[in-house]
Amino acid sequence: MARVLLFIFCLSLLCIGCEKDDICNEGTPGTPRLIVRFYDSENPTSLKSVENISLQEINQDNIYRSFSSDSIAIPMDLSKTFTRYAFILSSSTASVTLADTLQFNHPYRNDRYSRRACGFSAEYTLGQPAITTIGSITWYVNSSIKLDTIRNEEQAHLAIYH
Amino acid sequence: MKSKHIWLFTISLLLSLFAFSQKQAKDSIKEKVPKTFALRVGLDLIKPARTQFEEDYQGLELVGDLQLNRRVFIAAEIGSEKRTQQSEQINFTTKGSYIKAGVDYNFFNNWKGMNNALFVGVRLARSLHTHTVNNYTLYALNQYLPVTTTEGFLTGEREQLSTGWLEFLFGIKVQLLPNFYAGISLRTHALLSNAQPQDFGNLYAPGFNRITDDNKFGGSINYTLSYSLPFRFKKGKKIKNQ
Repeated sequence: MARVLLFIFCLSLLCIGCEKDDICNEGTPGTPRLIVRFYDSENPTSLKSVENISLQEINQDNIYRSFSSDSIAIPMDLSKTFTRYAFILSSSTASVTLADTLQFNHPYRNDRYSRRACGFSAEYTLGQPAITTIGSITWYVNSSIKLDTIRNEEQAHLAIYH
Repeated sequence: MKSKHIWLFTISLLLSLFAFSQKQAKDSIKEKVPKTFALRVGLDLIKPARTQFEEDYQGLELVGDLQLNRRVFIAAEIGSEKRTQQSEQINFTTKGSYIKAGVDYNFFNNWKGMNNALFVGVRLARSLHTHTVNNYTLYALNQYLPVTTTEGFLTGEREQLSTGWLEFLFGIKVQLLPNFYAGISLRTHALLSNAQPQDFGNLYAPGFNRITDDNKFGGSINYTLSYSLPFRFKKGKKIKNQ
């Protein structure tokens, strides 16, 4: 009798002893990037692609991305209230770097907890103005906010005219 | 739903064990053996050892049981833990204490004069604890600019929580010396109540260990050294000339 009970008990321990790993699903929205679309400064309603621009946050050693497109998602450094990116033009050479440095202002940040595997993520708000230029500017003209609170990457937040 | 049935089955098994044990108690009265109670107190050795060797862990657990008869023991554990851990991208400290109370059923038939035990048991347990978020890195799909927050925002201490759970255990106790026992028990935990703190999750509870999102089960082990207090309470008829 006792042995049978013991066997059943140990078996029940085995059945419930397994534990599923927590994995943050690929589709889980993390901290959103800033979605920027590029427009023609002379015709502000029409999109205008940029050609061969390399994007690099000024404190980073590597470029974030090289792209030729009318839109890009840019990660923001939310440990500060602003993020500075150099938009390096393809006409740069080894000795001369042609770049427009733009400072994205995001003074407000709000964090939230989702679940164990995904941890914390943030949403943030663009300031006024959204972009401050640093140093001399070659191709950037101005910008306008499309959506000031960045909660997801589903629509454009900022328009840059060039 | 399936696990609920497993628990129901196990609980009903344990209940039937108690019915069985009562019958035996009656038998022993017939033999006019005085009913003795022995109180055993002890210490879990794993927690102090971890405290010694792990930098981010402090813990202590006291155990005790009261023998009602050959089969049944009332048993309890009280403990306290402070543990700092890294869970994915969050570093947090959990501090608190817990109490577990229940019964053990010994199904080992000792030879005369021996006092070992092979037992199954059940405990109702509750903890009181707080979590402190020390730092965290924001979850982002892109790793170009990782953002780690060490102060402000959602770091800091959360409100006190209470977690309740049920434990099922299997263990042995071996008499090493007169009055000294070594014991080991393997435990499976099932959450009963799991309160969540504001802006954080209840990822760990002292005594329960890790709590996952989709699973209400956990496990633990303890290795105890206990001392049987030399006095015994007696109830019922006194036997003369003893």
